[in-house]
Amino acid sequence: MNAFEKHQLVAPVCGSLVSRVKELRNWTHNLLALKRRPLQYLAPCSSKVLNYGRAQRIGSNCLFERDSVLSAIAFYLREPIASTQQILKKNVNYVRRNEEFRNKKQSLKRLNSQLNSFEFIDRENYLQLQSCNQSSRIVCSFHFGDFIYGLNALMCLESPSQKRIFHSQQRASKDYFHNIKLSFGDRAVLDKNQLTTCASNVLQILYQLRVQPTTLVMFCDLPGNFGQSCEVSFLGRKAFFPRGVATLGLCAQIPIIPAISFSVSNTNYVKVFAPISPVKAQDETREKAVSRIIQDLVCILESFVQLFPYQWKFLQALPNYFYKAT
Amino acid sequence: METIDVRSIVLQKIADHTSVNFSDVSLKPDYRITELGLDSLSLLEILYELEDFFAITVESENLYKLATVDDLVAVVISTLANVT
Repeated sequence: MNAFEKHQLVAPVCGSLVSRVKELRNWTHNLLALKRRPLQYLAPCSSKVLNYGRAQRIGSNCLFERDSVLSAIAFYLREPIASTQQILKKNVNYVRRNEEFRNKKQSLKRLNSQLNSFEFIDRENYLQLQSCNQSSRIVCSFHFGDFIYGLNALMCLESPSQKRIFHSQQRASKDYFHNIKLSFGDRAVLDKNQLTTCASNVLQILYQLRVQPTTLVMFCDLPGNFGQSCEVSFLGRKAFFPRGVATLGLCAQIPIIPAISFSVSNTNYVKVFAPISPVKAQDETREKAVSRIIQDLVCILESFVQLFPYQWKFLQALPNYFYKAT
Repeated sequence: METIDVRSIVLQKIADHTSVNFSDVSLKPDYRITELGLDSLSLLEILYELEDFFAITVESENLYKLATVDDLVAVVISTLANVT
């Protein structure tokens, strides 16, 4: 945990969506220079979708399915098929490597090495943001980069009086908590702080947010089959993203703080953005307020997907975002 | 505000989120909200709309009581009574 204390964390912009997106674009443009550094070698993939040889053995239907998914992703990313295939291979390996790391018991040495690879940008701004607002808040993140260690590190910056809740898709394994405990010690967010999507009631979460200063970590980039969605623009097209975060923020009247973890070369970064206001504008309907908030969040994801598509866990599910789940 | 008004407004808000036509359904007092096909997020949205409509904030303790349609009506009425 101490490895993080010397680093910094970001809270860049306040103000309108346009200014936020503009600043984000400038910031990501600067990152391109870093992106040009050689990336770490990634081993060949073994995904069903991408493994051409295996697909041939399985049969022509699977091959057709693989090609359809590949074509659809290439279409939405606006990339040629060949480079999309490379991106997807890199994505499979990147995601698998991260998941293996966090779900298998690791030595303290490896965990420390992982923690040392993190860089916080504008850490002081985030701490200042906390001191200004000591009530509940939602840290809304994305399944991007090493999001687990990035968010756990971020949660270590919370004051001890703040209750912390991690809202995730599924309950994590024992080995996962072993690693987290070893990495973050007393400040670790353990299983008692974890709520799963299927086992939690949103009203219980609202209760928690209202009765005690709480930082709730949620994700807003789950594919369409996870809960109710709202329509936003993503990669230049109409897409559907879950609306739970925005609804909860509006109802609890607490700020939503977007945060993202991503990696460049061997360094992991955690970036936190300016809070999104939970207040509905005058004459704005709930649906419009929800769409506005989700659009703000999706703009952030979009910028990073364009920069580092292989770091997004749900890249292979990209076509699903453009169809409303029934 | 009259109880009947609150009830009709609550039913209207629920109807906006479901395909249930309340004029065709005789609602029992213990009709569970989940039986209307609403999940907890929809209930949260209904609650938000009711809070916005009546300019109230439901007591946190009452959030656990929202199991049936009448629970929702009762919570809104009691919150309104505390406000006025």
